[in-house]
Amino acid sequence: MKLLAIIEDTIRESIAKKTMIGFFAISNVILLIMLLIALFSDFDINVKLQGMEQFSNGASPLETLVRTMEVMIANLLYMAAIFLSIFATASIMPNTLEKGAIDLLLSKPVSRSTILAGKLIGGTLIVFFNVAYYIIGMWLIISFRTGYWDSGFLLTIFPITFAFVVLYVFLLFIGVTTRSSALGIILTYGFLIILAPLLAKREVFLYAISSSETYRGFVDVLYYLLPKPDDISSLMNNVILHSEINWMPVWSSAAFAGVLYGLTQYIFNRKDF
Amino acid sequence: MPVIIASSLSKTYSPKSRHAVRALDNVSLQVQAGEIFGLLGPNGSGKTTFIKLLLGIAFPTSGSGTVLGEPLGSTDVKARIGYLPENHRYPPYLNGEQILRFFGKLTGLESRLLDRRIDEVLKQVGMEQWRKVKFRKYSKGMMQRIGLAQALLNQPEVIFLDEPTDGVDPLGRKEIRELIKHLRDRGTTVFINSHLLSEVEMISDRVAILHKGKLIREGTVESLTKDGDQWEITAHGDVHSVQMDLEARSIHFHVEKERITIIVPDLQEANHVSDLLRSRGLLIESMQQKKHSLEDFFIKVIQDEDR
Ligand SMILES: Nc1ncnc2c1ncn2[C@@H]1O[C@H](COP(=O)(O)OP(=O)(O)OP(=O)(O)O)[C@@H](O)[C@H]1O
Ligand SMILES: [Mg+2]
Repeated sequence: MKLLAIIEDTIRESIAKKTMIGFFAISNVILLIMLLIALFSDFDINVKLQGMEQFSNGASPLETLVRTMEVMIANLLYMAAIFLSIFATASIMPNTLEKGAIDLLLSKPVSRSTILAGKLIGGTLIVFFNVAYYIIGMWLIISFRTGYWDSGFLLTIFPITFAFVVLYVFLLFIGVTTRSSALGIILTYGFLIILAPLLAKREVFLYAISSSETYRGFVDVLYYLLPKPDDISSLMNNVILHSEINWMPVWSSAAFAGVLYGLTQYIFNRKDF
Repeated sequence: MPVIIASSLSKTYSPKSRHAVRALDNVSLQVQAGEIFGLLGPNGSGKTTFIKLLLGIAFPTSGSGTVLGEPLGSTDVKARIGYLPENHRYPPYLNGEQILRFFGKLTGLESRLLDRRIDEVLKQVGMEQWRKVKFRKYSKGMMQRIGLAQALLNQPEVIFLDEPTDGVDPLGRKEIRELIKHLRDRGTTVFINSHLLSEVEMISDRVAILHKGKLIREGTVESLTKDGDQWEITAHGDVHSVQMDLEARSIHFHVEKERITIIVPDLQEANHVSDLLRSRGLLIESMQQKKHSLEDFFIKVIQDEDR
């Protein structure tokens, strides 16, 4: 009941703030463009498929074409959705902790863990609904246009939301320790743009710097400890393509989020306001 | 049984840094059920910090205490407490009624009761006609009233008010004072932080003064403002006829045209003097025990401390 009230308030706040509306508007514009392309393009799927042979993995030419297209769309969306969601949710915790607001919240019979959990779940739901709306819309357009209905693309809602949640826990941590939304955004973007790709392709980039065993060991440890947004996007592609899935990025990222969440809770419980 | 007990509460903010602040220093006090208790002190003396420690919003560096018999910071006891923080901020996108509903839910009020209480408290603070208006459109005094309404929702046994009349107009202040007295009459314990000494003087049963984190005075307003047993008599008429006698008995007085003001050390002396005045045909205008205002007293003790 109290948890629900906090979740509801978190969602209401994000709707009241224009960032969330912007997020939703962008989704709608992209969907609209897709819809126009689907309605008016001369693209004839049967012509494209002429002369194509059955693929070795057993997928038909139609399936393969549509899935490849979906992978492209999903990858574009993945990065866009995560960047937008980070931007839209980074201020949730700092706002909650503002002077005058947190005093009041803490004077009610609500535990600090309920407050933190409400913020985690609230932020996650906001992003989940947005991503689901967008993916389902896109899926309907693609499926109607091609006549090929496949659930793989729909399932991408989950890896996208999951990748967001892991980073959102980091935002909560920065929010509780520094009360700064700008710092949370900068650090998360820095991680997404620079560190995460380097670590994901560490054999190509980081290993080249030195052949020292210690150095490479350190890079590996860093890779396994930190969240793996790039590997999760590969996982998402494999979901669409119905290929085999490597779950390591999921559980190691989940472990990172779990530990960081515990630490955030620990710090929050002891903090003076 | 005391509703609030603080035993040697101390608080140092950021103790390990160079900016360590000793906000509270060994403060012990008790507040009894059903009284209005005023905590006074200059800016930064630790008044707000004291309430925060009682409510578990900040944690004591040392010392302990109880509120309604529960240890400091207990979550459940907060269902029986009301709090109006200073500089309170509410979600600006909610209207008055939605704000009350949100905090009512957090207090654990069941929804039918909550609906009824929202109507009642809005009426109590005179905000009925503003219930559908967004918080961001409120004036300062309206914000304060909604804050007060929020603190009253759960019919608290103890209510903590940090500068309750801040930003409220004189009429509104009077209403708030009436409200506070009404709460006390119904058995609510009221704990007020305030700078407005004349107000505190009007309503408090007991006050304490904090200075630089230390508790320097505590008692009833009466006992703190009473200036010994001195009495003050004013009279008018032929003042010259009594001046000699008063000087002979080395009694302090002050003459202004036809009026004389006399200060004597006790009631017996006051009666002697008034007999004298009457026998000389002067008219006595007033005779009263001399008192400082709480403000005079406050300024005096703070200055003494700083000296
Ligand atoms: N969260 C905090 N972190 C660090 N220092 C703090 C914090 N809150 C208060 N202080 C310091 O503690 C001291 C007491 O502050 P407090 O707010 O309790 O005073 P106050 O008596 O309520 O003052 P005012 O009358 O201005 O409201 C001040 O020196 C203040 O700077
Ligand atoms: Mg204060």
